[in-house]
Amino acid sequence: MTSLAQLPPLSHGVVASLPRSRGLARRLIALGLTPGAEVCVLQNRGRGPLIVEVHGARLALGRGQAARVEVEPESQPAGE
Amino acid sequence: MDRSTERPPEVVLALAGQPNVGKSTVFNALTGHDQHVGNWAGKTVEKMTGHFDHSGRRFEIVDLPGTYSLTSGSEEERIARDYLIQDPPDAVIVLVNAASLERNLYLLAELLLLQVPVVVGLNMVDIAASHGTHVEAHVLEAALGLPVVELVASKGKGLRELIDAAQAVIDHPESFEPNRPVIRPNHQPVLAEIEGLLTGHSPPGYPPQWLAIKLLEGDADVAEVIRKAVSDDVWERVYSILVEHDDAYLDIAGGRYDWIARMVRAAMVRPRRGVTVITDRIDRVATHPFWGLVILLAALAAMFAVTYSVAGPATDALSELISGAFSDWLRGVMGGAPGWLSGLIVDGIVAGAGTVLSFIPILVVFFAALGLMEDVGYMARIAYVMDRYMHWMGLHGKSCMPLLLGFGCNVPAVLGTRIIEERRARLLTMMLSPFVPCAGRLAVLTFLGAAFFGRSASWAVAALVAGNLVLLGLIGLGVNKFVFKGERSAFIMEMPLYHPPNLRTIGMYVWRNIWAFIRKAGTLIVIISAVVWALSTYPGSDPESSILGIVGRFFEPAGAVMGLGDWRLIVALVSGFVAKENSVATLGVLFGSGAAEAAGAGGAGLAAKVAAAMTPAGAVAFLVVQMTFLPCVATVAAIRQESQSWRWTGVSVGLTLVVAVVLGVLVYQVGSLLY
Repeated sequence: MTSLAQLPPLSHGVVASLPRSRGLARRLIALGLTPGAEVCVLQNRGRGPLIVEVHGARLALGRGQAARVEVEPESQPAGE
Repeated sequence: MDRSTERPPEVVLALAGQPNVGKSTVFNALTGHDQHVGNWAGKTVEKMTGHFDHSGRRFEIVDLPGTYSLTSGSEEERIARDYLIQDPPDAVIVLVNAASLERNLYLLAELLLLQVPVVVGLNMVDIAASHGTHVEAHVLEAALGLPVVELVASKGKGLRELIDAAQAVIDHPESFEPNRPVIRPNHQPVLAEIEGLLTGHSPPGYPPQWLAIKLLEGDADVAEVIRKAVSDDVWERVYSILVEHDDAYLDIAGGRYDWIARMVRAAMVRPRRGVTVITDRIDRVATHPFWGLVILLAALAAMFAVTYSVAGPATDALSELISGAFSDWLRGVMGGAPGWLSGLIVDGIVAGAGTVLSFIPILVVFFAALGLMEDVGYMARIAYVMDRYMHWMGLHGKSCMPLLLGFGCNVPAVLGTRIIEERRARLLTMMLSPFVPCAGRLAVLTFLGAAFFGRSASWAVAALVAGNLVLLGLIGLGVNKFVFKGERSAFIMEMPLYHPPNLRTIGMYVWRNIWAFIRKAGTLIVIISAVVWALSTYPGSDPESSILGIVGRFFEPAGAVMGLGDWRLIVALVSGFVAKENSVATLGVLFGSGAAEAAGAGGAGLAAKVAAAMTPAGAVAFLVVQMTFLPCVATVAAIRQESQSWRWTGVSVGLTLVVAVVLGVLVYQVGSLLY
């Protein structure tokens, strides 16, 4: 288990849990980040915001928010 | 589709959809110019309605605010669902973007809990296909059990079929049997229990199951409705169930996505993993921390260059026409009228409101450039690139979007802060909006700058604008640190796929912004121009002995500390409160040149006269104060409306006033030491 902010670019993972703050969790859900959803990290430069793909849509996510989303990384590397 | 007849509508449709599905393109294509902009009852959110005729029937279509869901999270979401429940249309058209189909269907999953008939418009199939995603409309239709019509709204394709489909579900309600999402099994018993408790108590119009689900989702508005509708005893039992299942909302949302996955399974083909699509290729550069910033600055520089080189001359010509030929003609026509009347109309209203209207060419080009960036999907990238810098101010990338609008006019900037979810970040962005130099201020700056700085004017003007933006950053830092105690806000936004621009959508965007500006010039600014004229004309015969002149003289000693020892300069600054660009017109009146000379090509004479009245340090101080001093009255009104608070409106006025005076004194005193 790791946080979404830790996933390297082009890796996949499954959302395990959302931030405890209900307001934040709700906004993430409305944009498709739900527990069980598969995410693909499109951009993560180790600093600044991330771009992820989830449920067919691209989201920009502040690093602080991404750090509070727990994910189960997928062992298969991208493209296989 | 014809739009000629003026009959009362026989059919009412609502247009729903998440952001970035091409909703306004569809709305514009259906209704053309037969549109009406109003407000939702008791709200400040715009309500767009339009009419059209289709197969002999008159249709009304209501454009619902673009929302991701129908929970009571934002005012837009509340408006959309209150409308659907309390004043249901005959049918709802849900637009979805084929490229982000699953996420877009989430709104449909929520809508299907309500009882109104729904048809789906599957839009942007061409853009999805160019990104490797293919959706079969008829397969999706079979899975959902409701009509799904393929659209390319930008080319007008499929709209007729979409309305046919809506008409069919309205005419044959018995055949509307969609596949509705169900809650996950582990929460079904508790849902049934709540529904049982509410039986016989649910307020009219609300489907009981919808109420129960919204309660389980933790919806505060619905909880309030129920608490009022049921006895204390029942509410207590409902409440204890909700407390026990306070994480049910995760499961409910998850259940909707399970349902969506089943719906799209057979209908959609996604690109293979690891395939790089065109959007990824552009984003590699456009969202790069360094190159993205370079591209952003280049785009903004190009935007300003085009705005001022193309529209600048047009604005000058228009201004000359209004204050020259048109005013002369008007004066001639009014030859028989009393002097005060022609003075009021020509020197007051035409000079004031007319100057403001002459900014239209600049604003058209500016809004067209912004509309283009928005329409192709670049605006979201600006927010992304700027996010890390906005964090220094406790803001996030989205705040850039309204602030950018501020370069045209501060009013849309303040209204644009609505896209920011948290109130704290929204307020801070609102407080910063008046520090963005608007077209009016930039016009005064370039006009006077030419006389003050001679050959190095363009460098000096650019330096002042850059200084203004640095100041904006510093104020953001300060307000965030001392007023909001450094709280952070969350950055979550959709990044749409890049796609070719649609001229019609951009055109409507420009038109709506310009029309709002014209309305403002036509009402508020006309009145205030008349008042300023009266104050600068009476009781004496010349401006010096007028009320404004007396007030200006009173502040002369204070102005002297900033190098503004001439009362006329102070009055010019104050008149900028009506509209920033008025400062030049006022100087024209007070320094004895005609308004025509002030605004037109002959303005060099006026600028030279003004320059002669000041020391170099005083001239710079005047420009600095002019750029930071008080938002214009329309901006103040907008801040009051959006913040719903006189206190924050006062903070904004006070902040700009203090900053302007402190900087004015500083610039003049330091400048005087150096020269």
